[in-house]
Amino acid sequence: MSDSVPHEPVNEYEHERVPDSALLGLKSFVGQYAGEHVAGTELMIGPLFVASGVSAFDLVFGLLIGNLLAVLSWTFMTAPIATRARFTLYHQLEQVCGRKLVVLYDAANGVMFTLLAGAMITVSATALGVGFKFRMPGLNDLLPNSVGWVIAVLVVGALFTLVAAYGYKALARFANVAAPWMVVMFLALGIVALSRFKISSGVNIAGVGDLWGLAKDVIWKGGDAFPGRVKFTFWHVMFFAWFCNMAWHVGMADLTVLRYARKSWYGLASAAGMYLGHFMAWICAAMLYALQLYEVNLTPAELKALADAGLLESFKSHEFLLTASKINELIQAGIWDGPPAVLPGPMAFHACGVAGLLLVVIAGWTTANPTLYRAGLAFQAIAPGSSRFRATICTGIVASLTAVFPLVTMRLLDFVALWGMILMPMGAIIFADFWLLRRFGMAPYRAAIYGLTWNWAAAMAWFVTVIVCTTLVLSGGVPIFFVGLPGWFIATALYIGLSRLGRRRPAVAGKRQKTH
Amino acid sequence: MRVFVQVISSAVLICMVLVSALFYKGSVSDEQLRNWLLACTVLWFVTAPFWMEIHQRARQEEPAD
Repeated sequence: MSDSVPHEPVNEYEHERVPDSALLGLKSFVGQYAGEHVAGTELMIGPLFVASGVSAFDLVFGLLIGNLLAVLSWTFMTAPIATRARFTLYHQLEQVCGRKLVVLYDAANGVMFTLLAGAMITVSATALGVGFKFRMPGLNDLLPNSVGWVIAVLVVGALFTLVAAYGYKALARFANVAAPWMVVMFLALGIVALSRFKISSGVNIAGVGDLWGLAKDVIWKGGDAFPGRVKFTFWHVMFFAWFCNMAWHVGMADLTVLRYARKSWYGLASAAGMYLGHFMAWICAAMLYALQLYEVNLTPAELKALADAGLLESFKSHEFLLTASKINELIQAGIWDGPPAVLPGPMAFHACGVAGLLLVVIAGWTTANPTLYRAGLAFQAIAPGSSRFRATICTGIVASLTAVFPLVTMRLLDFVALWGMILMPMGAIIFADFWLLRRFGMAPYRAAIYGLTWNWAAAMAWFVTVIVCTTLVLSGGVPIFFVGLPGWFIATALYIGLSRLGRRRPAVAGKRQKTH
Repeated sequence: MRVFVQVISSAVLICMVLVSALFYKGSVSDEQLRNWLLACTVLWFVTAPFWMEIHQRARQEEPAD
């Protein structure tokens, strides 16, 4: 996931082309992508793969290929438009879709950013649970389950909100400083988790073959998903890795970042973020959760219940807790309410002590900060008279209230896929407008040329695509991770078709500057 | 001075990976690992802002390659 701290040059060129003098070198983008994609969200996503019953092969190769597809999407879809037009996403959208439709896009984006900020508040609040020992939500919980949890979330949320409103820039600078440390801490967590697996399982690792054996036989054994989860195969992992940042690459949000790139192949810089954050960090975080399952400590009462149910011996064999069927046995025996919770705070503390705890707090905070800020900006754009400060405070309050309910955090994989699905059609519309409309005898930048504030072709393409994708998910049984691909083609075809139907004489001849 | 601090910061990150690797090898205890990681974390946040802030300002002003 991306938590980008907006690049802030002195002049942001919001309504004009970025001039050649402001273009940036490759190193800037490598650093920016690496920093953006090693974030608090990674602490949740990796473990949720384990809960989805993923096997070692499916995880490793699904991530390798899915991330490659994401890098190629940035390089061949986003960057070529960004480096030719050199406009922000919002300016580009305004030229294509019209001002009023951009406001709707802003609202959708703002809601998503608010929910993501809430998820990050939840992640950071789990760190407080280590010290204060209150009951924290389980994997399938939708509601808060203790007063301590509610207080912890509201305290963390209030702190994050105040900092985002008053000291956004200071924390953004802190986030830049923290980024390299976070990358190394994720790696350290992974190595430590692997060491503990080696010790607990007694497996002797002499080479890569032994390591792979430990990965597939102990850490990611595959099998069924945990109760209440969707089973992940290679295809689920691949499409998730490809589309979890769909709003940024195929959805074109990173036009705003890559418009500063001298060459379009600088889109390859996204590989730094994908393979550090969405490969290394996810795998390391997944190992932490798998370790929690492997080394789970039951209370004396739970052990007695296990013995009464005749399950104690198989529990002691250490083979017990990594499979969904065994977890189901525990639930059916009344020993557990549900699968073990994904709680980044306790997991990181168990592996690396206070440094691990600091990682959870800092990763959550540095992700929530720009997210709250961006959500505030999105809502401020809807009501231009309001202050950024008030918009951020209001957004922070809503995010904190949503954070009390662990629904979004524990369903982060689905939430991220939903975000991509909702915003992706606008990227397809920009793509079709920029590259395809001329081939069908129509002029691009239709809103600017026809003087529209609401481009009906774009609006219908967006709405119909989202409705079709939602129907496929809800009625067709298609997992949400897969609908992005057909959705993109549907949106592209609809936009071209509807634009052709509504073709008319330009109202503002020659208003657009030539961009390609 | 800036180069000196930069070397310390880089050494701190290398040290974090090294300590984890030594833990993997069994040469470092659990408690030592936790203490080292915490010490390295503190050192990083003390030293890195000195040179990263300057570096970022310089990068914003540098011409594209």
